[in-house]
Amino acid sequence: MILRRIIGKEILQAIRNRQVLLFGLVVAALLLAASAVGYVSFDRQRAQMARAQQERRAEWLGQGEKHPHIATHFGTFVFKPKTGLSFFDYGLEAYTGTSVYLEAHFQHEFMFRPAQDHSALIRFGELSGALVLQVLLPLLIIFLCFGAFTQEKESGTLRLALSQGVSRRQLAWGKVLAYYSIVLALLVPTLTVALGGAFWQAGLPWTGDLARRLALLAAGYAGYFFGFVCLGVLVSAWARSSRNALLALLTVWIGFVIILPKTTAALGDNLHPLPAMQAYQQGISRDVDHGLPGDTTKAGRSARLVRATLRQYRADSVQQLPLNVEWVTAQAGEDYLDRVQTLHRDSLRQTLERQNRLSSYASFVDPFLALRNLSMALTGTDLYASLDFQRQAGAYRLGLIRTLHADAAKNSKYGQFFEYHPGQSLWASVPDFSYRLPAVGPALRPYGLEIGALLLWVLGLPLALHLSVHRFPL
Amino acid sequence: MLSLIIRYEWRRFRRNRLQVGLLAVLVLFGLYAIYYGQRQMAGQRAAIAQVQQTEQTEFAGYRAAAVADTAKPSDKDAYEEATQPTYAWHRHGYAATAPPAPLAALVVGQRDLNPGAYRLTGMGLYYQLFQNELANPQKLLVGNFDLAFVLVYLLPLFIIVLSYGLLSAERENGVLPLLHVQAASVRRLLLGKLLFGFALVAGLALGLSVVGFGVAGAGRATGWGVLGLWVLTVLAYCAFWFALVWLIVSFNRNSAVNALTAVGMWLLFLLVVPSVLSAALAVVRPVDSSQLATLVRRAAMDNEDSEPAVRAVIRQYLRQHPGLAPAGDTLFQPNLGAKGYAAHFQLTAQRQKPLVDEYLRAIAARETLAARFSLLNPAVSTQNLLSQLAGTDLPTYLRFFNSLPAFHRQIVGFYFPRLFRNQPITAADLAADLAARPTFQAPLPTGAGVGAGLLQLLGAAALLFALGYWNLPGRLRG
Repeated sequence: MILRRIIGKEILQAIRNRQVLLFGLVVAALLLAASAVGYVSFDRQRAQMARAQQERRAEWLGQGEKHPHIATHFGTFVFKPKTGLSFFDYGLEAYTGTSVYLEAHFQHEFMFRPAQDHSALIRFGELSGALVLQVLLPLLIIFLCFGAFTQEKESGTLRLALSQGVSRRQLAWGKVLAYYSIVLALLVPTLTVALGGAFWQAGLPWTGDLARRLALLAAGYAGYFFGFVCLGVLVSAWARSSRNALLALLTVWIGFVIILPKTTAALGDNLHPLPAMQAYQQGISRDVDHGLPGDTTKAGRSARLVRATLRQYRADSVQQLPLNVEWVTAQAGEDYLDRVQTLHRDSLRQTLERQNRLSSYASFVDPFLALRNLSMALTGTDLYASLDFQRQAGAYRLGLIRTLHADAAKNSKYGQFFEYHPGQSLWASVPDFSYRLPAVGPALRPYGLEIGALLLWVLGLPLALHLSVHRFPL
Repeated sequence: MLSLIIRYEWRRFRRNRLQVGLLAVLVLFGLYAIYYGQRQMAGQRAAIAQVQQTEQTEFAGYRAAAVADTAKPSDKDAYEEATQPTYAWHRHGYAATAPPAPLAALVVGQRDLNPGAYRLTGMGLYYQLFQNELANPQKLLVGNFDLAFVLVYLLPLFIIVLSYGLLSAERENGVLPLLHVQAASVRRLLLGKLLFGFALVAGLALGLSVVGFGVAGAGRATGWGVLGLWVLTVLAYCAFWFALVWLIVSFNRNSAVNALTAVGMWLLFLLVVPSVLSAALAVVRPVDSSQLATLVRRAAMDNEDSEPAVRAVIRQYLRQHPGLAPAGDTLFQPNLGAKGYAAHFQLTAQRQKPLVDEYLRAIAARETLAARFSLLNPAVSTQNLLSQLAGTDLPTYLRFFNSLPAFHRQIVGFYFPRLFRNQPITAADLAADLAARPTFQAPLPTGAGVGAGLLQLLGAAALLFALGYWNLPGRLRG
């Protein structure tokens, strides 16, 4: 009963504060704008990617009759499709690159990072729902909460309330619930309109995986905000003046969203530098030419393969083989390249992980980092989504080449490596590439630290408030 | 009078542990940022040096192979690669590099996104232009902890902390009535305090910049004018923020309102305006690089086995370059295939050019529109000015990018006459210091537009300051 009165009074007071109201309206407007813009960009990019993918497929199918090896060099391209939730959180999309060229002998890296053709403007952030919720909303909460207790201390109403027999704990929880309901009252309708509208417009299929992702996103953000409300009230309870409370909270906010993310990323880079592209590629071609540790050279490997194939078919000469061994060695070369590249990619991935690990650990002191990483994972715009796309593209490349080589090995004669010219039916036997986003479970697997950190934030701050609030100074 | 105010402000500042602590933290951040930038650039310089080293090693090998005994088969292969234009035109690679200027260590800018080195051969041009350096996308998203970050993001916060209570704190501490009875006007007193703050922040910014210049090795070679412009830009940006806080203070509200408003302005200029502008530009002036994907494909000739078809390709190319045709009847044979492919890739690049031009035009259109909002966007403008001075902005990269076709023409101009006239490349051709071999000249940086941007920033600062000056309540003026 008394709690309900406290809540009512706090809500009324907050709404009467014009600055907070104005800021709340700005946040709501930005959320709506972010969703509209996010939807328009999403829709356009989705169409661009789909068109580009279709055109490249048509080129692949319509390349005419040619030598299979030339066809594997003609190759094809795959484009990373936009994930359904990426209009809410762009994540790393501007920085990961959008397409990969798939050809024989070489597994290309991603090309065309969209941020590359931008000036410094893009580095200040792109307006998205995630940006507003992760960065601006905590600030709104701080503006709401910093005076929770200090104002009452300064005006003397706190002593009055306490003398009426209300406990500090009751007051604290009343304020927390009041502010939290204001936040939810602002967000739930705005987000429903903004995201729901964009979602419906985009015509995204409703799947169980999508529902799970949405539910986890909602839970993550809700917990993030709740922690901030508790923090605001806690600081306000212990601060001597509103000015001090505000200063402390703003310092914390700047540390969370500006300083720690930059510092951890910079230190990660200093501690675990990436190799230069040229050195990386030279490493791969060295291992292909000279063999991985314990293996022989390229020439040695192909001679061994020819001997093994002869033994397998009990043939004395390559001419007696039922298949053209030249294509068998060509495929073995591709398989070996794939092995080498997987090793090098893995070591590259490990360096990237080590670089990012620091920000994962830092998420225990910075909930922004925890939520940022989880939000990217849930919207399929994180580093792992991009690596996974790269892996699927690599597997597709190998499959495409294997199909062509197997066909040529069967249908061409030894010594007539250059004479065999298949056509469209062979090209069409390679299915089109379709990217499958991993399910939410695997997508979250690398984020144990972040999940723990966010749970700690959601549980730890209310607990700290509950345990310490009855002792704060008047 | 002024010296008295400043002396007492200094005492007061020294006693405020929070402010002194913040200053110390900023100094530490600044020093780390300088170290960080230096490390980044060392990495980029090493990558560029490796590309150059590769060129030198390869050509040393070619020079040795060109004069070696060709009795052994492997030596013969090396000899042919070095001297036969049929191989050399697509295998001999030349480094085109744009090494970072010393100031780049203070503002990494867009250099972490765009390559600083290319290796070009006589193959199709666009096929070679779109490979990226390896990078951690998460780090690219977060951005660089360089000195420009400390100056553009953190310095305004320190300015806010120093001066949001300029007037309100005096009132809240009960000192204001005392000030009223002084001989000097309260406004003069406040201006003195403001000046003290500006001197302190400017000193910090200049100190960090000078340390940065020293560590990065930016001195005479960079040009004192450029360093002077850097300092002016940093000071103008500080002045802008002091003027803005001054205007907020002039409304004579309480400290909390001032602080909230000032932080709101910081948020507006550092986050809201840039991100909204970014989003709006993405909608209004979209740039689509997905169409460029096919440029990197090495598509073969349609009919490479048919001699008439290959001859037709060569003839088509030679119509544009009649000077390449040799005397006599050796245009097509020997080496029909190599000549056909050389012509084919040049023609392909010509067909691709409109696509690249369209892409570059779309970028230019977007940047032109973005520049119109620079007055509303002081933080981004400052970042752009600093990175222009350091040569780490997008236009500098695009000038580098746009200078590559001319360099590629040099390479083609070296190999194609030898290829089409069936002349081997001699050891003399490969001599290390021969000016006839293609050499890349990186475009020079330009300071165009820096003055205008600087004036805009100073103008905005002056305007805000004047507004605040007149807006102060009347009783504080006299």
